[in-house]
Amino acid sequence: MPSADATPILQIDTQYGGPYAGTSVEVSPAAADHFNQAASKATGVLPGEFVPFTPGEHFSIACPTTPLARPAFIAAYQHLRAVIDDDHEIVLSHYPRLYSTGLLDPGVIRGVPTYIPKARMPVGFFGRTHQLEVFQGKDRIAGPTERFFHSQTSGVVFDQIEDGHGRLVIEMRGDLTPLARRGEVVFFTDPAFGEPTGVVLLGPDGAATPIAWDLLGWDRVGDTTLFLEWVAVGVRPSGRSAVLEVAFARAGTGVAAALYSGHTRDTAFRVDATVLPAAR
Amino acid sequence: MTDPGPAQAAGIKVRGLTDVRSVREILWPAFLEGERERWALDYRQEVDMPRLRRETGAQSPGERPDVLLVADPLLFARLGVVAPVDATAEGPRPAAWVDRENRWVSVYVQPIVAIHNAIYSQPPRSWLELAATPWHGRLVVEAPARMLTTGPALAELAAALGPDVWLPWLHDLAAGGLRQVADNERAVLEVATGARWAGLANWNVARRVRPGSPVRHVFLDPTPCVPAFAVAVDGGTAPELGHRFVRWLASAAGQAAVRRTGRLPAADIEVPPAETAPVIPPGVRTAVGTADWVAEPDHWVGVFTSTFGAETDLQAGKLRD
Repeated sequence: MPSADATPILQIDTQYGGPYAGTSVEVSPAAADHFNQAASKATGVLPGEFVPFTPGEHFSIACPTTPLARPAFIAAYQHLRAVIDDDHEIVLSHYPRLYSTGLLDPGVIRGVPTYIPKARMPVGFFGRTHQLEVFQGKDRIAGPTERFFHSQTSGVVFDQIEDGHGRLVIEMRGDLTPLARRGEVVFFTDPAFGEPTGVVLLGPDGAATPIAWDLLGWDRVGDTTLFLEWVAVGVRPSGRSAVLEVAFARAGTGVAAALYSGHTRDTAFRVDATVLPAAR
Repeated sequence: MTDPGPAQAAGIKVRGLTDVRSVREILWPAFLEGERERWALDYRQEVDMPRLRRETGAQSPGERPDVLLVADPLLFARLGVVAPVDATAEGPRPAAWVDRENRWVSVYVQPIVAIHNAIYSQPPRSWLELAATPWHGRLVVEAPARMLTTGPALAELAAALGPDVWLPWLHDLAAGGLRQVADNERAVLEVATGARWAGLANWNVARRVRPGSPVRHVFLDPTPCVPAFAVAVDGGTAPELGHRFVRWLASAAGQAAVRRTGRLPAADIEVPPAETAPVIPPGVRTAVGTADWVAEPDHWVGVFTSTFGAETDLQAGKLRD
């Protein structure tokens, strides 16, 4: 359905629960610089596509959508605004984001999390549930829906991603209850690593449980590929902390991040994560 | 026992470097065994010393903590709100840790160990080796000028290494790109990821890693041991109870409880009891009370600031919950 100015209306993809919002993320100076440098060197960056990252704590508002041609999606994105509690209006195009393109077709975009500095919101906003609506112009495309906006300590805390031989190791703690209930962890991993070849959840007793995963898309700026976005499904930890090991076929250094309903520290949103050659 | 009075019935407010579990689940319940009331404890782990000094120096007495567990007691005593405590400390203490005015008492001791990522490196073998080229750009420590653990540890090494070696060694560490962070937890975190290959941490944090972690620790010779002090604050909500808690921490019962937290009680540092397993490996000496950093911290802060640079945007570790 076209809007009044002929920009198509974005359709929310509900496969993973519709719009997700409130994940807390620490963007390090190195991570901000990494994405800003990539954008400055990329070709084919469309007007309105990229907004520079700044270091600091951010929260995300994400709109997974049915795939749409890249120029049309970027044009539509300029008209998106999130309204929280009928009180706070956030124009999403003012804030940094990385567009996620189709797995097989880089010409379409399937969604995008936008990263908004936490300082934009009032004191006491985080660590609570809020009502979220997303509008494209005057058209409401998502909500109203309740979402929890995380503080540094609420929900799952993704503490660190460790380098390893043929793998990366992700350590989580905090309140793992929502993770055990839904079982999903979103990953961003560098093209240098290739696609994941195996995921296991390590229990407190060292037992390894194989975990399935779905590839979601390749996040790009212009025609530069930044990372593979994918989701581990069926992650159901017990106890107060959990460890995921993700195997990759290729050694390399680059982006690795893990996110879910909670807080991702800068040590779990790395641009220098390293998969070392697999141990013989 | 002095009647604590109705204003004290709610309990006391304690702030400090010690981890939450040790204070809430081990020390406080042990203290209550000798009390008539089940006093409540308001404890928060705090490594941001400027923030803690602001809280301690609050004009409104009710906002002040009653007891502090800190590494740099003089900086708090200067606020003019620290009360002398007539505590009889169990066991001998190094003279450099004892205050003639009884404003602080050493409670436990932290050995400072070298940590390393076993995927990337062999363990460092000596203090001097840490300044060598292979470690350049690879080391991370809690900022020495904060005088929490790394600063006191480096100060303790001054006598052991000798002044002609120590200061050039510090400059070599700085020239090698030593990374400074807010606390030991962050240092361990950065070594765990592989972003840094080695660093320093107190023993208690260094060994608190998950099974399978690539982080290992080693006791270098000599191993500096850094005390944590208990300080009673005037003008809190429960001064009598606060004083009793400080006295108890220094006592035989308090030191036994400290031992149960997995730490080295201060009473054990000069004469380790035979029944306790040795923490410091045989053959490794300790550097204990060899420098005046407790009574004269400004000198050491000046040395570390001029050597390693001012603190900017230090990143904290896993202390937020």
